[in-house]
Amino acid sequence: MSERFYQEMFGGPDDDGDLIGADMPRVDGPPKADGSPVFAADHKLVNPLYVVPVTAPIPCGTLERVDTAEAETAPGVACVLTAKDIPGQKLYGMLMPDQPALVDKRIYSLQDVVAIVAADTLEQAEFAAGLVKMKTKALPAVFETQDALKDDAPIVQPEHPVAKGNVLTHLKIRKGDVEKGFAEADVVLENTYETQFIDHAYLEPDAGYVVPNPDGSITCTGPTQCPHMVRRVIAPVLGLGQNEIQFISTPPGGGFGGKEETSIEIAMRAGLVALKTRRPAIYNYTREESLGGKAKRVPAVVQHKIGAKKNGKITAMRIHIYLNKGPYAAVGPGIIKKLIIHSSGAYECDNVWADGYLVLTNNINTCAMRGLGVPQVHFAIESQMDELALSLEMDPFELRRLNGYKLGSSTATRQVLDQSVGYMDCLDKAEKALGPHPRENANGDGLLHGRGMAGFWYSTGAASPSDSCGAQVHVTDDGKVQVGVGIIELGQGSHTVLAQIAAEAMGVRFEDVRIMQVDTDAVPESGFTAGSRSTTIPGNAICEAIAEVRGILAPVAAEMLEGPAEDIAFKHGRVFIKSAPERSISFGEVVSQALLVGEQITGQGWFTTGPLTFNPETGEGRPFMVYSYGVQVADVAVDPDTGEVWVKRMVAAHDVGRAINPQGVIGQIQGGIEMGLGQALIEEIDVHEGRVLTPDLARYEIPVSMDTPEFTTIIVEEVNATGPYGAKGVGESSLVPTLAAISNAVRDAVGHRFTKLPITPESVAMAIHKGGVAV
Amino acid sequence: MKMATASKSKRTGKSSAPAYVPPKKLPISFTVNGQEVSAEAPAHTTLLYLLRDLGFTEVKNGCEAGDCGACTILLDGLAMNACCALGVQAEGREITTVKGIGTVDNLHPIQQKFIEHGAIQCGFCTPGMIVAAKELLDLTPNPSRHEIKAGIAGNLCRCTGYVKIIDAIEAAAEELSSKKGKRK
Repeated sequence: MSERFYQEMFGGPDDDGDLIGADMPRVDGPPKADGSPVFAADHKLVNPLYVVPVTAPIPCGTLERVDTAEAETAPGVACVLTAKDIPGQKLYGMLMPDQPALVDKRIYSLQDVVAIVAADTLEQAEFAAGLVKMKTKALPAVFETQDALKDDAPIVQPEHPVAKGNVLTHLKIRKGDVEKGFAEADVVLENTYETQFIDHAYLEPDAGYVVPNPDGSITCTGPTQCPHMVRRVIAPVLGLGQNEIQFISTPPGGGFGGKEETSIEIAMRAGLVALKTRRPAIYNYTREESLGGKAKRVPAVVQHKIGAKKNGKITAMRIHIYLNKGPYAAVGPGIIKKLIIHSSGAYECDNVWADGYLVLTNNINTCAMRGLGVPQVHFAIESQMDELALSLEMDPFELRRLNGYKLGSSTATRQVLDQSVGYMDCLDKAEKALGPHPRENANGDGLLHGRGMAGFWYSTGAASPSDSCGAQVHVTDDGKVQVGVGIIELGQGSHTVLAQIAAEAMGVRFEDVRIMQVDTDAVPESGFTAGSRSTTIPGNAICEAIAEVRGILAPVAAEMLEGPAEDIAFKHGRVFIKSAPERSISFGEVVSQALLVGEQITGQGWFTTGPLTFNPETGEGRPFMVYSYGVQVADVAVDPDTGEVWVKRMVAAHDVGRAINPQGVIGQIQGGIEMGLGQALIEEIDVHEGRVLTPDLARYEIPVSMDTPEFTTIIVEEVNATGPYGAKGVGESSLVPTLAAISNAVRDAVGHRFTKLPITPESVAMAIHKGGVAV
Repeated sequence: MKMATASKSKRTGKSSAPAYVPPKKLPISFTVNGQEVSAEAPAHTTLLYLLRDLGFTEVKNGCEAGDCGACTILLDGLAMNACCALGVQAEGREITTVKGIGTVDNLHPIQQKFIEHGAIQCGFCTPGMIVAAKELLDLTPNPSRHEIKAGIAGNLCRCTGYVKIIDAIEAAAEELSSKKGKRK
């Protein structure tokens, strides 16, 4: 899809319609406002079973024996299933099958499920789960990345199809000559940054149910971020064809990357029960199960060495990244790829060497979460930039202006940024919005005040060898437009934004468009609802489908209006000849006439980025189609006695391409920053030898309303020629710089560099006490 | 989640586990959104489970531990977490859920402002958040922004960063108090 395509088809960026850039209220607002049963756990089923898992008692070892006899005879129990009951393959996984559906022999983590119990009531299932007996043999486990990389470390997956030792993936970037670059530098800084386990902590605990159909197929219902992927992954386990699995997605009550894996786990295990018992099977996670059992944001250790000349010009970067993946691949290879690509930040540098290691351990499994690893590396690079500015006594904005990406810059993967680079504009606009340093307004309040800034770049689209998406558009005979696309409305507002794009492109009223509920029996494969792709990639596919529909309707309208088909225009539900707009007919009339002459008014769209390249040995390639850019500035106040940090204000300037729905964009930025604030200051899933010690929202705290800073949110629109009406991604990038912006502000306030997250009151108080700052 | 422990005993057939005793059910009567409701439930059933089993699924289950506020209801006009009460404690009481405040066909100004201001994203916290806002505005008709923040401090939201929720409640307070003013 090219800029020319959009200009010819729908007019250029200056010829915006009324719907592009409009704050349309969410289409799903009213039912969510009164608590209507939109979520999976709200549904009522006839004669269902409740599924409860029995997990492994040890993090590493072998399962010698399982005894389910007593559980099976407990009241209300319909079945107790173990690995021997799996009709198909015993291993599963999104990229490679390396994860047991139910433990067969080897145990890899405490979260592994050994058996599943299904009973008439939840209480009976829980009771019976306690009666499952097992005998296991413990083997030496390894939980930390540095231990897993030792020569004599126990091997987590001795028979893994891909891993070498405990290294699942090792990616490299080799650009220029780093030794030469560091030799040219006047200042060289080296630090190691560590981030923690984080939970998505969406308000809706993971849920779902599976209903067996009379023809032997099954229907899975529940929240997901990847309906077609669920089908693809569980089909071989259940011994079904992918066409025998229907997945209907209910709107997730938050996803943030976490409802990829869990939707697979739930559909797979409830599916085993439904196939065995021929009864509907409900499998809702408790909060404890969601926080204590499901995969987390991957913790990263980033060793970052940066060199620069006296004038601030960066000469070299040497980066080592270690990710504690847990025992399974899942989407891990995608995480390490995305992370290493972004690891040198939004800065030009001729000499970049980076090594990224995805390391298997017996720790809790990890998965995608908002930003897919990129926030972790931005914590490193943007902390380094802050330190560099301090040691060069340079303004942090100036340092970033000097080195930051501009049109024509070449990235660490040697991709030339040939369009839509808004970093400089974001720096200017954020700086202008700042106002006086918070220390100037302190008025002797006894608090330590600080300001910190961080920039970012972040890709739009999936971290895969290509990013593709299908869409279909059908015009019903009453002139309404029905759009089928496999993108999930998980709160980010995609179904409102995609309806805006579809209505504008079709030339009908917003209220005449409906985005269909996502159902694999009805909508095409559209890839993951992830990677900040849910406006750009599906928007393109929808526009392509609409171009086909217009191609069907235009000749019919041309005959009705007695003009040439190529001059037909569609706008606001009216159809007319461009040169004579005063004489128009309604969209519905054209549809009726088209049906009368035997047309099928349907369009198929398939958008693909084409090959997205990344050489794992050198890093060379064009790994993404386009990037978003931005800057965040945090003002913090620190209590010198308690070490508590309060974020008082956040200024955020984000280049998002054309903002289709500015209110939605601002909502994404504010929500992302709040989540980043949690990771910077509050949140940590405390894991001891693979066991989560914080499995509830009292011990795993997330930001509350009282933590909310004052926001100044600035949208920068550097139009993207490869996106619908110029749009790029925004959903994840909002928290990419937040960790470093807050950390840099704390550095400014207390004079101590924190290299480990979260920055707890204890660590701040300790730093102040040790004399980091004069109070 | 049930953590089974590795059995070291050489168990031979006979069970040492406690027998499953079906819980005794108690009759409970109360009102929900002005409608009388009669139910039977075991003594240990929480009000959250009781309400959801009766079809009041607008009361969302987010944590079952009083941490998240998704199940906030009004009990005799005061906000509380339904998961922190037993069903039997509702006997003779008046419960208001979000649907008692307004429905899709007849939205309350708080709900309208939530929609207009973009205060709803995934929507899971929304019903509880709106009930908490209703109590706040009943007790404090013209709250400051700080009072609004404090009023919803027991309700977690993971999507919005709370700003638009605070904006919406502020706007609803304005509208509600100007309506009252006109009536006088």
